[in-house]
Amino acid sequence: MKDFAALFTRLDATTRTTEKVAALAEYLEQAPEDDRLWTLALFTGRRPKRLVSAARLRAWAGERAGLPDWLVEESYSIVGDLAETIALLLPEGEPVEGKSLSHWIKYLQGIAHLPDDEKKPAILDAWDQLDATQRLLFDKLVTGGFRVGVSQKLMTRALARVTGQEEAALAHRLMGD
Amino acid sequence: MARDPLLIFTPEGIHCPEGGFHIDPWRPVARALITHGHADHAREGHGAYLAPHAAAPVLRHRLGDIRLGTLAYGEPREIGGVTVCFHPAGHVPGSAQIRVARGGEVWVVSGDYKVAPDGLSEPFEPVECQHFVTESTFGLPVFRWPDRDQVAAELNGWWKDSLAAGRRPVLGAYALGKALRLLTLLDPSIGPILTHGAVEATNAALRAQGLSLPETVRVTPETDPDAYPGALLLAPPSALGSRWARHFGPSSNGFASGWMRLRGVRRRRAVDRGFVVSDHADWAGLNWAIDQTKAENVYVTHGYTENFTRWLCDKGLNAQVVPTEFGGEVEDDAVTEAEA
Repeated sequence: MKDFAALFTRLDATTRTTEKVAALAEYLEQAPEDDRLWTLALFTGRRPKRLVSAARLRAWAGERAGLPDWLVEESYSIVGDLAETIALLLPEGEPVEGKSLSHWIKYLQGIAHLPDDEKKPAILDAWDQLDATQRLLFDKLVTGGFRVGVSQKLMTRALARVTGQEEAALAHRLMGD
Repeated sequence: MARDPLLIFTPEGIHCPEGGFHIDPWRPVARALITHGHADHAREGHGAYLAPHAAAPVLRHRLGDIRLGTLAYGEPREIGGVTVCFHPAGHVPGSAQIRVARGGEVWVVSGDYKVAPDGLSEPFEPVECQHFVTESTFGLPVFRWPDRDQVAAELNGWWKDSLAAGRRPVLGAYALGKALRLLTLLDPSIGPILTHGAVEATNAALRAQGLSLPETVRVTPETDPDAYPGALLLAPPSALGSRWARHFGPSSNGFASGWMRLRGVRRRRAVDRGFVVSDHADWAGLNWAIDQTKAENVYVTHGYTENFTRWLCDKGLNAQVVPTEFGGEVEDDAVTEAEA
């Protein structure tokens, strides 16, 4: 998750297309196979299903941070993004090394069938193992609202750079299915 | 009969009727006590000014030939029937909270404050009182400041990465306070630090009073960009993307402010990098400071006043919002540079 969060930070920190493509290409080159596929899926709009409602997630975060609902609500209205609000409100976590993007996606798939009151401890436990940026991404996976400012075109260019294939052919395959 | 309150809130600003003075007034008054030199707290046109010794050079630099008396921190002064005293606020060098006492009744006006030491400002000193007038610029729990070492590592990493990418790092920060603190975080072994005139003028005033700052080179129209290949430019935010900055070639723009904690603000400003550095207390800092004063009555003057006041009332304090014209750390570009 650390590398994926670093990629997100780099993409977020620049408005320049060339730098976004470079960041994506560097990430794709070194990422393990699973992470690479999940990153491609997420960045091309194949979002995971919502696991917990936004209201429920917000309530859990408030409880964990020791804050009343109204204050979480007010914070959300200032920040404008629920996943980010939660990431910022929670006490500092202790990031655990070596748990990748695919690890957390599988973790969420593993609790998807549970009732909410059993999902809760699993989510709280995960929050404790992530830093603020990683949490923001994790929360977006949980709420099914994963959108990052990467266009299909950028993704195609980055992939073309890494694989040495033609952009047009890749674009066609990315859009298919 | 009960006496009038020691401090009241008037259209001119915070007023002490018995002492015949105002604190950081925003309309001209006869006698003003000043918490610090930022433009929204130290305004022109008062008959006489009283401030901490350490604030004098910046006040004179900004306001010119004013009638200015000064006191050391902790040195009491009788004015009318009341005793006033300055205590460090940790906001910028020379900044103060003002304690006002009459018999056993004690009020403290915090001005702007920051509780974590920054290595330059006299560290914040909690003062016990019954009535505490506080700011709440960052009075929401989403605001939590990273520690100094982390910010320094981010800043210096960005400096090096920008150079490696063939870009000139240009760091925007307000001159009084913020730019100074950044100077203490930057690593001069990476390269020279070039400063905009507005930043250098304040640096000079503070160097003159003995603050130790790393070496800086003031940019003039004659400055040859090629003579400083590894340099970082430190400038007011208004200089980001300006002709002044473009003179130095392709840039990577960084901006330092508490608002950089929020992704939406970072994106809206379209800077390349945001660094979370503020001269104001974060959420935990505000709550800690208020606890330390043991005050039961809290007056919240600027920032997220409604939310912060409700939070304090929930905790059992007698808190209220007091409308003021203080600006806090303003996110907007349009404000004058001394305001944040």
